[in-house]
Amino acid sequence: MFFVGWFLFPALLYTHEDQPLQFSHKVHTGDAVGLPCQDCHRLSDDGRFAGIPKSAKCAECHAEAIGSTPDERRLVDEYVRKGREIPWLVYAREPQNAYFPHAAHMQRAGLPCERCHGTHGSDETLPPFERNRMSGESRAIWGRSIFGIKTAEWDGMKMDDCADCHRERGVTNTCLKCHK
Amino acid sequence: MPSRLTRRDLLRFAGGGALGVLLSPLPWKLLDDTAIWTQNWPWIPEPIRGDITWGHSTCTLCGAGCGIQVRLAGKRTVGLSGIANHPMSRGTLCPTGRLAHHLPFHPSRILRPVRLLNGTTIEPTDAAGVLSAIGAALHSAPRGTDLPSIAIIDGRPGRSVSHLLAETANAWPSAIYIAASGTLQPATELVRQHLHSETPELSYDIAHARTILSFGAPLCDGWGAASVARQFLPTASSSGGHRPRLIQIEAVRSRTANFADTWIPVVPGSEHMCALAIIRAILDDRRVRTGVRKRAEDLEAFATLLHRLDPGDVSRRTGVPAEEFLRITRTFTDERPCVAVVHGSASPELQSAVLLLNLVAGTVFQEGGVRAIPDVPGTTRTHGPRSLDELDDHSLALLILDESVASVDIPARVLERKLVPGTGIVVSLSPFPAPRRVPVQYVLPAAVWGETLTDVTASNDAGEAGYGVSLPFLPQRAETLDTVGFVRTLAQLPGLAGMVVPSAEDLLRQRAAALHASGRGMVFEIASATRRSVQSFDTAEALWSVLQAGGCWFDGPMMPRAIPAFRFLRPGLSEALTAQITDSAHPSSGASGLSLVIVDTPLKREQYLESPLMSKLRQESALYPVPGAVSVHPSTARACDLSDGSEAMLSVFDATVRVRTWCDAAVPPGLVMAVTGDHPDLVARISAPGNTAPRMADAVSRSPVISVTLLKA
Repeated sequence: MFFVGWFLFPALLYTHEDQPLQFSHKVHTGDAVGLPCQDCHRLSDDGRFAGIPKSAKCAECHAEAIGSTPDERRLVDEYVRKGREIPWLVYAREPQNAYFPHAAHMQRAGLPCERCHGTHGSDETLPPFERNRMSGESRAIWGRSIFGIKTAEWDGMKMDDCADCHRERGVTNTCLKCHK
Repeated sequence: MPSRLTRRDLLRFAGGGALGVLLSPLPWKLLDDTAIWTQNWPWIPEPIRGDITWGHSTCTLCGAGCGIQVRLAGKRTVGLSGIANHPMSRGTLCPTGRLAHHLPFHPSRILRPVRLLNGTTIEPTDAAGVLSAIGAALHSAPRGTDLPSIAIIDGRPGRSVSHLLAETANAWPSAIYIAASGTLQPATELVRQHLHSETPELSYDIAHARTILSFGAPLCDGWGAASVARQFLPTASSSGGHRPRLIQIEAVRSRTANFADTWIPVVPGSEHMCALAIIRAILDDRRVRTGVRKRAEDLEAFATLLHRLDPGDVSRRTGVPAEEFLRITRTFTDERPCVAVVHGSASPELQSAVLLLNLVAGTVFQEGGVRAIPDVPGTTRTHGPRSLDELDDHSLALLILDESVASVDIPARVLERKLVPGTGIVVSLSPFPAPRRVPVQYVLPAAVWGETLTDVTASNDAGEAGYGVSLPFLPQRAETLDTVGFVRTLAQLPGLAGMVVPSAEDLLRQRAAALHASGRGMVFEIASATRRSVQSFDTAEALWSVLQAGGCWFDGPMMPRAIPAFRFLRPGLSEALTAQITDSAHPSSGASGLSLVIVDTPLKREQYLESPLMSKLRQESALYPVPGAVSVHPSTARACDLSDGSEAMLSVFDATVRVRTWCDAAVPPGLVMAVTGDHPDLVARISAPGNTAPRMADAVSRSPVISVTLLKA
C-alpha cells in the first residue's frame, strides 16, 4: 500500500495532455528574439492581465511561417490564416474558487513573473499538461512533489503557497482576499 | 510445512496496509483534491474571460432612474456601479441595483408560461394556452354595459410602452387601463379634493428639504433612490453634502429611526394622532403662514375642530408627552423648507393627516416640500381609476398585470372582491410566478433588466422628473417577453387584430423626439459628464444618441408656485376627524397583550426583482425583516417562551402562520414586528393543508395595528 500511495497513485492521479502546438519560449525570450514576457502576455494599462495571447498576436510575426517545423506550419495554416484561437492548456490557471489579480502582484508588489512561473519563460519545449483527475486542475497548482513539498519557491501555487508569501510580505490573509 | 493464513495475518495485513496508506500521500492528497472538487461543481457558472469593456445604462428596478455604469467581460455583464454626477442618482446605486445583472440567473425565474392554481400549484403551459384563457374571459365578459369587466394595470406608468397598454384597453369594449401609483407619492387624489382643481402628480422634494418630519416612512430602508438614503448618513454633512434634519415618528427603532436626528417612539397605530397634535400645535403657536391664511377657505372651522383634541388624551394614546409636540412643531417649522412625509401604503387616516399637516405648514407646491412634478414630455396622461378599489365588486372577468419592471401589490381581499367569483382570471407578465389567491392565474415570462431595450420615467420615486433608457446587454431568452412583445401577443386576440405595435426602439425614438420638441429640461451626457439644455440639440436624433449612450434627461430647476385657494375640510373629512378625535380607545389594546406592527419595507413582493444573493443576505443576516420572520424584544420572546431563531405560530383573527422569531432589542416590548408578503419560498414552506398565510397578509392589510398571539411551535 505504501508503494501504491507513493508511486502508483501519483501516476494514476494525473492525465497527460499535449499542447495543441509545440513552441520554444526560450527562442522567443532568449537572445535571438529577446522579447519580454509582457510582449505576448500583455498587461492592460490598469495592470490587468490579458491572459494567453490570441492568434492575432502570433500573426504579428508569424503571418507567414518562420522556420520549417511542422508546428510552425500548423500555426500559420490552421490558426493564423483562419483566424482561429489556439486552444492552449493553461498550466497556471487557478481554480475558479480563487481570485488572483496580476495587477496587485506585479504592479503593487512588484513581483517578477519568475516568482510564480519559475523557469517557464526559458523552457525549450512545452511540457505535457498534467490534469488532476479529481479536481480537474493543472499539476502546476499543486506542485511537482506529490506530498506538496516545494523544490523551489515557485513550485506550486496552492493556497498554502499564497498564504506563505502573503505572510512573508505582511499582506492580509483573510478568506475574502482570494475567495470572492 | 505450508503456512496457514490466519485471521490474525489478515488483520495484520489490513492494519499494515492502512498504516502504509497513511504514511503515503494518497489519503491526504485525495482529501485536498476532494475539497477543491466540491468547490468547483460543473454546473457552477464559470467567470467570463474576455476583454473588459464598459457601458452605461439606466436602472429600471424602481422608478428612481439611477444611472448605471456596466462592466462587461467578454461582452457579458459582470459588475454594476453608479455614475458620478448623474443628476438622478448622484453617483449612488442601491445594493439591489448593484446586483441587477444577477436577475437573468435568478433561480425563481420562470422561462416559460405557467398556470398557478389557487396561488400554490404551478403547472407549465404555453402562450397559446394563455391566449385561449384570455379569449374565453373576453367572451364571457358582459357586453353592452359601461361598467369595466376587464382591467389592465400598468406596474410602471409613464414608460413609452405604457400608451400601448392604454390603447389595448381602449380597443376592448368594457376594458379599463389603470396606472399604478408610486410608493413615494403623497396622496395626489386627496390633494385634488382639497384644491378643487386639476393638480399634476406630486412628490416629496426630499432633495431640497432642510427639515423632514417622517411618519414611519422608510427613508433609509430602501425608499426611492439610494441617493435619498445617502443624504441621511452621518457622513453626508462631513463630506460637504446637504444633510437635512430628520425627525422620525415610528413605533420601532428602524434603520431610518437610527439615522434620524430625533426618533419619537409612539404607540403603534397612533401616528395619525401625532400628526393631528402637531397641526394643533402649529395653530396654537401661531405658525400658520400668511399665504396659507389667505388661501384657506375654512381655517377657522378647521382650527375649531382641532381644538377638540385633548392634549392629555393624545399624549395617552400616542405615548408622547404633550410638550414634545410643541418642540417637534418648532423644530419642524423653524428650518424651512420643510416637509412631512409618509409612505404611500400607510393607512388612509395617516395619509390624510400628513396631507393636512403639509397644507397647514404651507409646504404644498414649495421647493423642498410637496412638489408638483410635471409629466415627462411624451407621457400619455390617462384619466381613470388609480386602483382596483374604485371598480365595482365582482365585476372583473379578466385582470391583466404588466409586472415586467415592477410588482403590482394587490391585497388578496381586493382581488377576491373584484373578480367574478369562480370564473375571473388574472394574467400577468412577470419574471416570477407571484402567487395570488385566485383560482387560476396565468404568468407569461418577462424579460428582466439588461435583456431588453426599455425606458424609465423617473418621477414619483425620484422626487423630480427624469428620463433614461435601459439598454440590453444580454440576449433575451427565447420564450420571454418585454411589454412590447406582450402587447404583440395580446394583439392576436379578437378586437386587437388591426392594432399596430411598433418596436421598442421606435417607441423610444418617438419619446426622444417628444423631449426634443418640448425644448424643456436638461440632458446629462455620459461621455463628457456635462449637462446641456435640450434646446442646444439640433436634432432629435442627436438627443437620442446621448440617451442611447446611457445619458439622461431631467427637469431644470423648479419654479415655486402659489397654492391655489383650498379648504382643509374636504367632504367627509370633518366627520372622520371628529371620530378620530373622540375615539379614545387605545389602539394597541388586545386580548393577547401583543400588537403586530407591520413595517413597510420595499421587501415584499418587490424582493423578487432583486438578486438572489441580496435575498439570501437579508434573510440570513437579519439586516431587514423579511416575510416569514417576526422581530420581538428579547423580553417579549422570553415571555412567550421563545428564543432567537425559534419557530412560532403567529395568530391573528382567523389566520395562523408559522414564523421564525428574531430577537431584536430595537423593537419595543409588547410589539411583534413583521412584514407581509408572499415570497415564493415562504409560500412553498407554508403550503401545507390548513395554511392561512394569504389570509394573514389580508388581515394585516385591513388595519395598521392588530392584536396577535405568538406561541412556540
